Amino acid sequence: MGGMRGFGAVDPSDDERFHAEWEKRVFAVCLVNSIHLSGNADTTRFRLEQLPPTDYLRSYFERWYLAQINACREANIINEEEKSALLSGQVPAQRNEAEFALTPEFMERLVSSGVPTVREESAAPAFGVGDEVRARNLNPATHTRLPGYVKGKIGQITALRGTHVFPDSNAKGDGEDPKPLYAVRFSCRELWGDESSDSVILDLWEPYLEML
Amino acid sequence: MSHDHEQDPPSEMALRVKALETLLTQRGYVDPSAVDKVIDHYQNAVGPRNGAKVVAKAWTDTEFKKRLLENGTQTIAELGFIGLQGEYMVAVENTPSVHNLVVCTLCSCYPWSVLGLPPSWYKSHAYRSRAVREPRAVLKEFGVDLDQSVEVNVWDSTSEVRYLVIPQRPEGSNGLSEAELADLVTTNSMIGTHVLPPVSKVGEQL
Repeated sequence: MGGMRGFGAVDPSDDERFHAEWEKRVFAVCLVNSIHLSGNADTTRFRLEQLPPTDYLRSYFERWYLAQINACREANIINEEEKSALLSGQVPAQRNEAEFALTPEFMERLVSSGVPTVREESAAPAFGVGDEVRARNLNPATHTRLPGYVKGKIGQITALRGTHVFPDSNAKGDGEDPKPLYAVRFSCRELWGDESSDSVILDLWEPYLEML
Repeated sequence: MSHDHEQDPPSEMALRVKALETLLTQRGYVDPSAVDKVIDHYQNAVGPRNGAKVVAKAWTDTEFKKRLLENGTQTIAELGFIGLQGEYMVAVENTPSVHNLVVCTLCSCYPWSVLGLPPSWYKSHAYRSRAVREPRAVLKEFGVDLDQSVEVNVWDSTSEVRYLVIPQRPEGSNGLSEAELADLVTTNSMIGTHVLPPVSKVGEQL
């Protein structure tokens, strides 16, 4: 959404983590049910992005809910009829049953230890700190972490972040395909044509970048 | 659910989420006590007090701050703050000449293990779209009016790297203990949407 117009002012007073009880439940249900869904964190983000724009622009946790329903359908936890019933707030009759569910103890360990995406370096990084690079004009129909507002823009590498799981591959189920990750600084002058001395720094994977 | 809510008719979303959780529970996919555990974790075990402790230690221990800026992940782990959405941490320091601001334009990535879950405004379309394009205008909406001589660095959390802003230590805070300093640190100051006021003025802000 970086750089889009029309969303108005930010409301700093809207600082609650959750607005309603259902937001807490859907947040936690998504984490607990993740084991039964195909994919990974990147797949989850891809599912959010695949929602129709009118759904995507609903509230944050409505997006989580709608993507979860779609994920349950994909994993055959529910069929089409059951999906429609759920969307209208009905609970369909029992049909299938899971072999197991994640326990509170497992969830405690998961949230407390995390899921690192750093991997062993597979190839030496192509760029070094100080290198000038251009963000490529890539437009895959699938998930990418290359924001539109930097495509074609010139920036400078400010840090090497190691080798990380490549979301563009991981989200499609094509494997982790780890790639070097860099912090790249773009001046606001370059991004927006304004006269400021401000900058935006993004973490970008090597395939997103080309040497100037 | 609180009794207040029970008196109101449940919203459409409340019904839909209840139906989903009921189905997943009845069919054995989800253990409701695991759902409770996750909610409890993010309401009570982790939150911005974790980040505030990191900041207060950085203010009082130069060696710690040096390590924190060089290797955020390991140094924050020294205090035990590890976990989901904090696997790779980078700390960035506000100075008289540089102000850091953190956003995620692609979704709403946020360092859960040090700050808990994000405030709603952080997830809003307005913040996600505008923080990179007009950071100073956004900062003004938070009451932060920076001098033109201060450079703004906006960190867009496009990867699994998560950012923690070390705000400038407030004026007049000399002599305070690490714990007292941690009490001064606000959530927004660690995202970059707040500048901590001088200590004598803290009362006026309440």
